This record gives sequence, structure tokens and C-alpha cells, in this order.
Amino acid sequence: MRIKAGLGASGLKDAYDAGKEAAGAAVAELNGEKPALVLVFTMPHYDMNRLLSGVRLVTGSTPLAGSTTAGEIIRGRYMGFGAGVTVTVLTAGDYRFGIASASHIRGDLNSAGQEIARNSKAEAGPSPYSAMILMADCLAGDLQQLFYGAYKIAGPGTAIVGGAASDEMQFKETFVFHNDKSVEQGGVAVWIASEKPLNAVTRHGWNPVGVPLLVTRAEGTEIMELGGRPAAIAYEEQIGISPGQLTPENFWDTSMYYPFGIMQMDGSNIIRVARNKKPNGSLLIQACVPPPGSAVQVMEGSADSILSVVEEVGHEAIAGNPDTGVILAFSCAMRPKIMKDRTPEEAERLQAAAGNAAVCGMYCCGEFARTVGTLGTHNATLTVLAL
Amino acid sequence: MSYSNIKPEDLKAEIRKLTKARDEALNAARSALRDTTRVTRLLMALNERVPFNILLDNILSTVTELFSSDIAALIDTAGTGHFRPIAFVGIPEEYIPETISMPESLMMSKLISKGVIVTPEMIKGIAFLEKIYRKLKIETAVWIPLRGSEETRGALILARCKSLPFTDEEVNLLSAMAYRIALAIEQIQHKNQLEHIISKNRDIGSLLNEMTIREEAVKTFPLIIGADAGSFFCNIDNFGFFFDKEYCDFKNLPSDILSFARNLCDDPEILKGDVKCLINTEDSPFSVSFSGSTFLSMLAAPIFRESRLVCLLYAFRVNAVHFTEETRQVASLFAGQVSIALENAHHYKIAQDELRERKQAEKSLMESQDRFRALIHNISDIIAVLNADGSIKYISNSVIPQWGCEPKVLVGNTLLERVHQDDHKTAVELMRDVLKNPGKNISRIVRMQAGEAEAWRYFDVIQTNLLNDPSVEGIVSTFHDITERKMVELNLTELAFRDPLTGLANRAYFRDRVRFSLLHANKINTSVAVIFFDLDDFKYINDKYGHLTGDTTLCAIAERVRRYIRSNDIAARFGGDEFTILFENIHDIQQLQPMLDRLVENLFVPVKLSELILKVGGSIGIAISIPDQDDVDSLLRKADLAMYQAKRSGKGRYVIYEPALEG
Repeated sequence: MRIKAGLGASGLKDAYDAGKEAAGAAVAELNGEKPALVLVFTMPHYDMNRLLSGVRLVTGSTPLAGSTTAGEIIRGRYMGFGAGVTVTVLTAGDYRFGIASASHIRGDLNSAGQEIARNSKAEAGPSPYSAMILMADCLAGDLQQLFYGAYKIAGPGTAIVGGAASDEMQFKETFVFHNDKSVEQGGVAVWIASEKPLNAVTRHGWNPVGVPLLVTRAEGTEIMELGGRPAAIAYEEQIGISPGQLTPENFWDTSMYYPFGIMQMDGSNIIRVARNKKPNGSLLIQACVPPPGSAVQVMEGSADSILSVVEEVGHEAIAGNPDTGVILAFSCAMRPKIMKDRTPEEAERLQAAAGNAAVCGMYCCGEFARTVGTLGTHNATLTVLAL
Repeated sequence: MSYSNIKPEDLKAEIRKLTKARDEALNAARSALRDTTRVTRLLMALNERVPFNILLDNILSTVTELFSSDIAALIDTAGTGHFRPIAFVGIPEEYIPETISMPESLMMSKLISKGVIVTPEMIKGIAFLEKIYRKLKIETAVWIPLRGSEETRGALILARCKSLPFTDEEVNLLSAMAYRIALAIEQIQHKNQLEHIISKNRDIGSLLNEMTIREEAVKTFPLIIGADAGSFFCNIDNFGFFFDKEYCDFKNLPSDILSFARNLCDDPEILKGDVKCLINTEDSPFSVSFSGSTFLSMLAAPIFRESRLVCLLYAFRVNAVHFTEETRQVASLFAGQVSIALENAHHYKIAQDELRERKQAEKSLMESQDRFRALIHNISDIIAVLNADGSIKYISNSVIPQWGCEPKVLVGNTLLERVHQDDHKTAVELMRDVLKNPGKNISRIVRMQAGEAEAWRYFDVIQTNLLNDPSVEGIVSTFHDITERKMVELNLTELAFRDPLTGLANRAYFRDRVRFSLLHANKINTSVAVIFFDLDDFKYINDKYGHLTGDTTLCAIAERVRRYIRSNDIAARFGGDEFTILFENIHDIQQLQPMLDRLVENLFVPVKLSELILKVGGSIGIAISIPDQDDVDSLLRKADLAMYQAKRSGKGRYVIYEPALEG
């Protein structure tokens, strides 16, 4: 049975009213069918408890999950910073859903990942196939550990997608949601039990430009050395500018076009973004730093190149599932920085590729998707799940 | 060469050629770097100082990423005794069974030792593996044997759910890495086992009841050496018991296991003091059953008291997995500690029994004395009447047999003349108190000269001031000889606080002194230092030359310790061949330097015993207390840790504890 999606959005200022309005519009689209899962993606400026109260007034005790974002996607429409909240309600279709969350996960991310995967799986019950939507506070630390923990429980038979919550890139405080609770410094997992295989698709549209380099020293959120030399100097050399030309002030404007790709054995690259340089020549990396010994190369991209993957993502997602009713999309908050005024194109083109399936989702600060081995955290990437 | 003369089509061809060459060079560099990154990443992960479970996760996440694998598992049968992975990723927990059948375990053993590419056909007959391969759609897998320093420990398993076979280069690289992984696991597990033993040693060492020690040992033994069950057989009382995990209770061993244990007590290896292992093989189908399980592998460690086999400590594995040489050593070490604890408890019990009997006897005596005194003064006691200045006015005839002199010789002399110099103060205070409290009976114990020579005996002196009683006009003093009782008390104290073999302090007394010294040091803001050392190859001396030679060696070492420490320092035999020394009032490590140099130089020189010259080696660990932070356990643990570091650095050295030693 094909899943049905009802989508609603609101830009009302009052959190309770906005939640109520968006949920009301979403539920109305189901024409009386019973929702089985509610997904809430919202700007960070609301009082989250009031927002969820407003949503739950309409959706009742239907299981709910969600996240604060750096922009929302609703039926092919991009909602930028400060635009409001989107609510997606899904009928069960052939699926069963289970949700679990954990708060204050920093410091024990691996265990937290295992816990929410185990509990959400138990709630959904056994099935031959499955998928998991994973969302977490982007400030909780090395989220690869959370992903690893979740994957330990899920295994290769479960398609994992999701993203790290954002506060419109203020990096002060982000939230994920579980039923009526706004979970502090937490993670939430939605387990989707299915009778048929589920497909997650991930692409980025970045291409290598430099020579491959070995990370010879890295710690915390910094790469100190590349190929035994100060990382910033090696990086500047790769993008063809003289050493020292990049300053902490102008660094981000250039580096957003030249992220690092962690070279994978199958020839693919997993993207990591350098946010800034330090006076000592270290590079500050967004979230998960490539461990020492990793092989990396500088990548380059443009609005054209990163948008060029959208159709491929959409088509591939529905190719494995012709009855697709909804596509859940998680795109990186950095991509709009490159796409600039062409940002709405991403959602539009994805919706066009998805055909009748409704596209909804969020812009996040790091995406979850397993591509190779157990590495499952990405930057500057678009990942989707078709249901 | 000028490009202006080149035709556009030639220029294009030149550019294509250069681009192709560049791309080929880049691809070659990428390929080379991929191989480098595989080795470096794994070495980095192995060298990280993190807890064991995190290290295992780091290993698995690194190899899955570097070898494009969806599933990874580490099986360490040598360490755990079973086939459940010690770490795994990508396998849902419910797919891994708690136990597997005997035929399956035998097939698993073969797969682990054989490796390397394991196809779905090869796992036919192992139900849970078939299920995992089928459910997770595994298309290709490698089982890389984990060969440690001595033998194969288990396997590193990598699997892909896509049609991408592992190449020969990948398998070779993985095999090389597996050796490093096996060594890392081996080292950490050995360290953990030793730490477990050290911490358990404290627990078991503090127990003073033999039965409690046995029970604690049975619970701990399987945990330390990676077994599924433990039991205990007492050769003297001919009984045995095991710990039933399901009921969390101790139960008696069934009669067939008891007779098996009895037979084992006659085994030459056991009688020699060696650990004995039995395993189910095609040639020797060993198996025992109790507590609802069938065990296919067994290890038994003997426990001796005064060269006599008194007990066996057992560990059993459900799977037919042999115990490695290293595990046998650890088992032997633990059995040694249990043996010492049992010996201490045995001595304690003897001392307790003696004390109880003595007290009972004294109580009876007191009761009879009270009755007797009520009727008549005890004629064997010496009775004297003193003047206010302490001179003897009258003394009874019973002084003749006891002090060996006539009453008339003593009359007129002061009593103090016959009191031991060290007890003068007590005697003077007694007189002072008696003078202050007329009519009141006051008693003190003092040593008095009993005979002409320097023969001192203990007397309970009871005095009553009757100076104001016209019929007496003096201080009535009764002298009751309690020398025998005092001697027994002193012997008991000696037994309780001394190691009977070496005469050094024993563990209980040493711990008590360290506790007291730490309290005092905290008050005056100084530190105490504890030295810990044991003898290398002591077991060898015992085994080769017998326990008597071993005991003599220990005494020789104890004598050296006594010679090279100061009179205020306390040295102890902490257990077996372990010695400890306590230094008080330490301000600076420099204070200890000359002492340490002296010890290192003189402690470990060969011991000469008539015709034998025995080499004794050892290493010294020192820990200095941090005021208001350290307690007895933490200080001893630090010294112990420092000693193990010293051992690692080479024999005959000392290492001072520093926080960096904490692994």
C-alpha cells in the first residue's frame, strides 16, 4: 500500500499557533486517513515546547520526530532562514514506525547511538527490511560515533539517512524532537520497518582538484598538518594561492568552494569542510575531523556542479521504489552558500525528479548516510530516502 | 621550442597527452596513498590510549572503512573461551547466539585456524552463520587468523554485502595488520588480567575465613581466565563445590566430578605444581557435565600448603577451546594468591582458636580466683604491706619461692628497687594514685625481678591504701604472677602481625601501619613512600630445588631488606614472593635515593645456600603518597603498577610511580 504524505507549513510568529496551523494543513491533506508518523522541521526561533503543543493539538499522540534546521523543504519549495515551520504527516502504508531518543549524549555518543537504534527498532518490531532516520544536536561532538553506534545495531540491511540539527548556523543551541518533548543536546531515531527493500541515495557534486595528501596530524576539530607541513600552507598551495593569503576573516568565503574529500577505497570522496584557519597554521574542520593517517584531497564545486546531482538523486531514489509516496531530503546547510540565489532550484529540481511523490526535508549541519564501510557522516552533501 | 609555430591540432594533441600523463600520475599517487592510509590509520588506532572496548570499536570502524566492508567482527577464543565476538559491527545483536553446539564449535575452530576467504559453502552446518550470511546478504568474507606472540587467538572477520571480492593484496595487508591487532589484544588482555588479579588480591587477601576465600576464588577464577564456570575441590576434606550462575548460589559438585577431581589429585603434573588442562578432541573426548551444561575444556590449578596438595581450583569452558600458555600462567598466579590467602586465614584461625581457649581458661581462672579470694588470700600470691614512702613494712613467705629471697632481706627496702627500669613510671604512678584514693583497689601490671639474676616476670600488682586503718597502717599490696598469660598474649600479637617464615611484618600489619602513617602524614603535611617488589623466577626456584630452598631464599632476601633499611622503616612479606617497605616522613624523593640505590645494588645479588648459588632477580616499584588523596589501597596499587613498569623496563631497576603509568 502506497504511503500518503500530508504537508503543511506556517510562518506565524506565535509558536503554538504556527505548530497548530502547519499540522492542521498537513492533516487536512490526508483527507481523513490516519497519520502514523509526524515529522516537524522548524526554524530555531520558536519556543519549542509551545510549538510541539500546537502540533500535538492536531496530531494527538501520533509518534512525532523532528529537528531545528537551517532551512526547510516542503513539496519542492525551499523555506529559508526565519521562514517558519513545516509539518509532514505520513500514513503507515506498508511500514511500521518506532521512535526513540536520548538527551545529553555528548561524551557517550556511541552508546547513545546504540540505545536509540535498539529502542526504536524494538518499538517498530521485526521486519525483513528497514530504514532509520537519525537526527542529532550538531553541537554534541563527533557525530560519527553516534552513527557508528546506530549502525552497530542496525547493520547493512538498514538504510540510514538523516542530519544534524541546526540553529540557522548560529552554532549556539539546537534541538531534536520526540513526541511532545524538545530533547536537549540529544539524538532521535525513527526506525522504519518494511516488507520491501528501502533505498537511501547520497551525492555531493564535488570534484577533486588537488593532489592527494596524508593527514599527518589532527586532533579534536583541527587538522594541524598535511603531508608533514602546516595544514593551512598545504591547503593554500592546493587551491593555488600564496601562503598566508587566507586570513581568519576571508577564509570561509574561499574555503566553502574548496572542501576536503576523504578518499575512500572505492574511489569516492566523503566531504569535510574547513571552517577557518588558526594563527598557528591549523585548519578548523566542521564537526568530524579526518583521523590522522587519512588520505584527503581538495575538492572544488560550484552551484552548477552541486545542483547537477539532484536529478540523479531523485531518480535513483524512486527507481527502487515505484510506489514512492514521499521523499525525505537532508541537504547540507553549506550548499545554499554555494547555490546562493539558485538555492530554491535544489528543492524544485528534486520535486520534479520525484514526480508524484512529495518532497520534504531540512537543511542540516552534517548529513547521515552510510556509503562505504561504517563511515556515515558527511558535509556539503544531499541525501534522501524514498518511502 | 616556440608554441607559436605549432599547429592548433598538434597543440591540442600535446595538451591531451600532458593531461593524460597528469591524470595517470595523480591516479598512481592516489593508489599509493590509499595503501599508505590503510597501514597508518590502523597503526594510529592501535596506538591510541583508550579503554579496551573503545579500542576494539576503533579497530573495527577503521578496517571497515579502509577495506570497504559492511560487517566486521573480532573473535578472541583464546581470551574468552567462546565464539561470541568480543566486538562486532553491522550484525544485529539478536543474530549472535549465546552458545553454539559442539559440532558447530569444532567447525568454527577449523575455520578460524584455516582462514582466509570463507565462502557461504564453507559455513554450511553452522546455523547461526548461515542465518547471518543469508539475512545480511553477505557475498564475500575473509576470516583473517589473529596470530599472537604464541599462538592463534581468534579471527578478524570482514564481510561485504556486494559482489566485490577481497583481493590478494587486501588479504595480505589484512594478515599483516591482524598480527598487530592480535598483539594489541594480547597485551591489553594480559594487563587487564594482571590488574584484575591485583585488585582481587586485595579483596581476597583481606578475607580471613577459608570458606569465604574459596567461594570468592571460584567466582573470580573464570572471569580472570575467560571461562564459563569455576569450581573448587578440597583434597583434605574431600568435598567440592561450584558457583551456579543461574541461581547465584554455591552448590556441591556431583559425585562423578568429585571422583574425577580426586583422580586428578594424583596426576604427576598437578603434584609437580603445574596447571593441568584437558580438552575435547577426536582422540581424547574429555567432557564433564554439571549445572545443566556440558564442558569440553578444563583447567585445574593446584594449591599447596606446606608442600602438600590441599585444593584444586578449576575453570571450565563450554566450548572445546584450549587455554593458552599465557592464560595458564595467569591461572597459576591466581592460584598462588588464593593459596597465600588460605594460608593466612588458616594461621588466623589457629591464632583465634588459641586466643579463644586462653580467654576461656582465664575466665575460668578469674572466676575461681574470685571465689578463692573471697574465702582466703591466695597463698601463692605475694602479699606485702608498704609504708607511705614505698618501703616494705611486711612481706609474706610466698616471696621465697617466687622471688628467691627471704622476707627479712626485703623489709626496709623500697619496692621500686625490684621493679624493671621501664616500668618505674607505672609503679610510681600506681603509688601516687593509691595514696590519693584511700580504701580503693587499684592495679597495674609491672615487671619485677624474680630472683637474683636478671629474671623479670610480669605481676599484676593490686594495692589498697589502708594507711588510715589502725589495724594495718600501711598499703596492702598483692603480687599475682601473670607471666605465662602475658607471654601467650605477646606470642599471639607476634603471630597476628609477623610473617612466620621471614619474621618481617605480615600483610595485615603492614596495611595497618600504612593506614596509620598516612593519617599521621596528612596531619603534618608530609608523605609516606611504599616500595613494592617481588622475585623473578621464584616459582622456578621452588619447582627445581623444592619449597625448603624457596623458603630459605625468601629468608635471605628478608635479611637483606632488614640490613639495608633504617630502623624506623617497616618491611613486610606481603604474600608469596612479594615484599613491601614503608618509609615515613618523606618530603622529597631525593631522600629515598641513597636507600633505593642501596637496595637495587644489594637486593638482587645471588643467594648462596651451601653448594647452591641461586640467581634472584626483581624490580622495584615506588609510590609516594599525595597528602589527603591517597589511601592504603591506592598507594599500594600505584607501587604495584610502578613495579610492573620497572619489570617492563628491564630487570634490576626501580621506577617511581607517576600518573602517566595509568593505562
